Amino acid sequence: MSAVPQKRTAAALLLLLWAAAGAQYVRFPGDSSRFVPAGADSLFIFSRDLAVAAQGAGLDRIRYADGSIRGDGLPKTLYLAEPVGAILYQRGIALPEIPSIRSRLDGVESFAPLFRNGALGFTRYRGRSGRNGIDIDVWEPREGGGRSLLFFPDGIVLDAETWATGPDAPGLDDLSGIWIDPPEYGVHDIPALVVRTLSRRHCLVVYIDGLGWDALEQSLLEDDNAMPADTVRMARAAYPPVTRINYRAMIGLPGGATLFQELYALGVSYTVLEGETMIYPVPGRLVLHGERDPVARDAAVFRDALTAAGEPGLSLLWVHFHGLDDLNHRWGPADERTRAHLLTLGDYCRRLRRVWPGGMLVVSDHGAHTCAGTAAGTAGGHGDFIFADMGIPLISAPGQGNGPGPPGISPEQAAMLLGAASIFAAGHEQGPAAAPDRAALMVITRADTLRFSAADSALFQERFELSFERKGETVVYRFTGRRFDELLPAGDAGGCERLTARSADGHTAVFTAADPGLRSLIIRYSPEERGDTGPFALYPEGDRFPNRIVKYLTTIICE
Amino acid sequence: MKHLYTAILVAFLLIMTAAAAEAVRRPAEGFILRVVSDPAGDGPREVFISGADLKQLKQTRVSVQGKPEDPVRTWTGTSLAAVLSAREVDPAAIRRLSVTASDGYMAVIEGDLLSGLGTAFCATGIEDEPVFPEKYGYMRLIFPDLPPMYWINDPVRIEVSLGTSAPAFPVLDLYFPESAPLRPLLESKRVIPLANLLAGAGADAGRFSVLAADTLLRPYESNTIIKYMVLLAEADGAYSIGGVNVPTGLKTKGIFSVTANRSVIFLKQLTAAERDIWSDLVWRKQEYGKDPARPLRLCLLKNGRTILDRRVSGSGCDVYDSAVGMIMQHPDFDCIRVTAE
Repeated sequence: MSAVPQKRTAAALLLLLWAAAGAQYVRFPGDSSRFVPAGADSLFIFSRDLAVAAQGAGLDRIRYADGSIRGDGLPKTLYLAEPVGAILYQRGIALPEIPSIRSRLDGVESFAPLFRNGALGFTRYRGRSGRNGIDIDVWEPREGGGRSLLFFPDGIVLDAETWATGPDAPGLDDLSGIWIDPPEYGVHDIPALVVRTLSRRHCLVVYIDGLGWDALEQSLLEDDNAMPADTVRMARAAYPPVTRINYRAMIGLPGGATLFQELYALGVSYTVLEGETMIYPVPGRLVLHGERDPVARDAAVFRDALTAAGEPGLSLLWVHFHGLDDLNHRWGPADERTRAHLLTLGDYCRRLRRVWPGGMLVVSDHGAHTCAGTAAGTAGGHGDFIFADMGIPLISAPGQGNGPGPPGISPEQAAMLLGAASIFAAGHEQGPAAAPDRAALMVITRADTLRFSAADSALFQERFELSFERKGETVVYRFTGRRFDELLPAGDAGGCERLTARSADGHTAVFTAADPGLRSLIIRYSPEERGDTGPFALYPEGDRFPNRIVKYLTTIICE
Repeated sequence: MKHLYTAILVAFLLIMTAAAAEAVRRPAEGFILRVVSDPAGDGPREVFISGADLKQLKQTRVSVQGKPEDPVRTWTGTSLAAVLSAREVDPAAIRRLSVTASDGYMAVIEGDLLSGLGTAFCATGIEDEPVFPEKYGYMRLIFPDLPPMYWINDPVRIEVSLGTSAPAFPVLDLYFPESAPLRPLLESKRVIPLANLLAGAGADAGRFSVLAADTLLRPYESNTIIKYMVLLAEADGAYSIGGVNVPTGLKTKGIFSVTANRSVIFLKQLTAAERDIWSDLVWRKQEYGKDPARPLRLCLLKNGRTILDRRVSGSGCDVYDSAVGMIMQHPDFDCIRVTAE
């Protein structure tokens, strides 16, 4: 017998045992034939816009017919059109308890109150009524709230509605936990983020094993610079929050292949730096690090990462630091030694960012919690359905290194990898959809598109000295460059009524026709990037304050 | 199994698409105006108003000083009343207005503050300044008659609630640091997720108010930032709001009480001054606080059962003192429920 039928048999057995204990879950209309309330004195039934809980004798008269719930002599409130699902059970019988996270609060609740109180989105209580010995409570969805996710083993995560309406979705007996009002992003989003970043520029992924949201928040509250973090999002791990499941989620693509397998097949150059073990097979360049001490091992991984970051032509650098997870287990996540190592990893990230020319993501697979009174070496752990283990950070920050950093893959390849081009159309990451090339300047006019790069440096030899006021002091900038109007073909210069300048890191400045600054813009070019302005920068000579200076200038749109 | 894999794949795509949607705050420069009527009235309606739409309305100007150290500026743009009237919203019928900025900053105008709505102004320019400062976004919503903390840069959403009724709760639950659901949060942790605190008190995180020692009663509206908000313990037992991604302007200090719907959470044992502030600013606005002579019943609850009860009437200070007396008598409890006799 294969593993899958065994699992299904076991699940069916559990369902039977559970049903025998007095609880049954029914989906409509798929398994409506199982909707037999005989013996049940409690009922929770819901459609897409209403949920009703009923308790009392006589519920066995209720039935499902013609797509509706009906029953002779029952309160009309129970007559529900187009029901989606129902839970039948008996009062007083101990029902399975399900771990839950509500925002960031851990709990364990029996499924009936859990579903009533938000798990399916029914959070607005409309009231109670009673008739013929039956008490009825009614809820409806609260606008803009109440989203929840259901977590099943092996990393399966389902939206509550998908689960409730999916004909073959896993049963309640397999449910590992419910997260009510969860973070929008999850570890499953990481492949899309990596692929999207690769479609625009090179990508560095720093994977810090065991970095939970709580630990990151604590360090950022103590020091804003504890981790390079331009955009920090709270995210959710898959269940169980262990490395094997979540590593798979962060490299898994629709269709079953891993990110590395697909990139290898496309001929994309990448390097994967791992700890002492290879968790999933990686075709291509993989470097393991066998140091026994977690701190020393992470240091070795960092040294190699620093070297790899400088290699020309590398599209993806994947760096897995495992030391924090080891220390979480050994000392616990709250221990000073563990927290000190997290700060060290933050420093590693900052130093890698300084040399990396593309996009950078800092990701994690799970968090950790403190285990009280355990033996040495097991002071911390993870794997439970609690926020400390399930809540993780998702950080993105543009790299600050030199270099052209062209896209690692084409948009078509990216769409193919994810099997969903629409994801890209929706704009997963902040910033313009076009790939910004930090070493080049693109000028889009009504008539033409012009590109400037280091090869055009001879155009930018005029000396400028500009003064701006900043915090009551005069700041003087001296550089070589060219007036913007002079870069445009004759006829284009005067035709621009609105100019938008964008930088590689998303900064935008707008100049309109009514704005005298539009006619006095200067493009600065730095032959050797000095690290503070990028190769190209825009200076509005007519401005009093330096607010509209655009460093790392990549795009100018003249409308 | 094939259906299962299909369901999982669909869910995978749904989740990723939902995540993508979060990054798209709005279709263009402008804000979503959401109008919510009384429960008996029409359902909510939403309309997108762009920066260009604002410039189509009658342009006026207003001279006002923000912070005392700021210069008086003449702002150009259009009045909020004109914007609302153009969408058939009667400004006089508004009983609550909440505004959310692109960075998650928020302001809620209700109660006495509503008097400041009449002069509210959608500023899209500043006289004698050729460029509208980038930090203000496409528009700055200013309230000349309200403190600058209510002024919003780059608003993305404005919600107005119409009608005359305010929610009245048949019961009011008072939570203290000793309350069993809150004790684990408040006793041992220096950093307390605000959503956890509200959930622990059984309160909806959608709307809440904080009360600070400087008599600031500040309403908050839940948005994506709520997940990141934490309470940080201060030296005197009060708390301040902080957190990753939380705009500086939302970081109120000196908080000693949080109110959400029917739950009031006391974060510390109140001093006499704090008790007076709470009585004046929170209790008197509750259904029971309007009539000090009204007899009330306080029930000390544990696991839904009444352990102790006491009759009381008077001001909020009297109610608070009675509740504290009950706690001293029976320190193992969940909350103290206030109901009318």
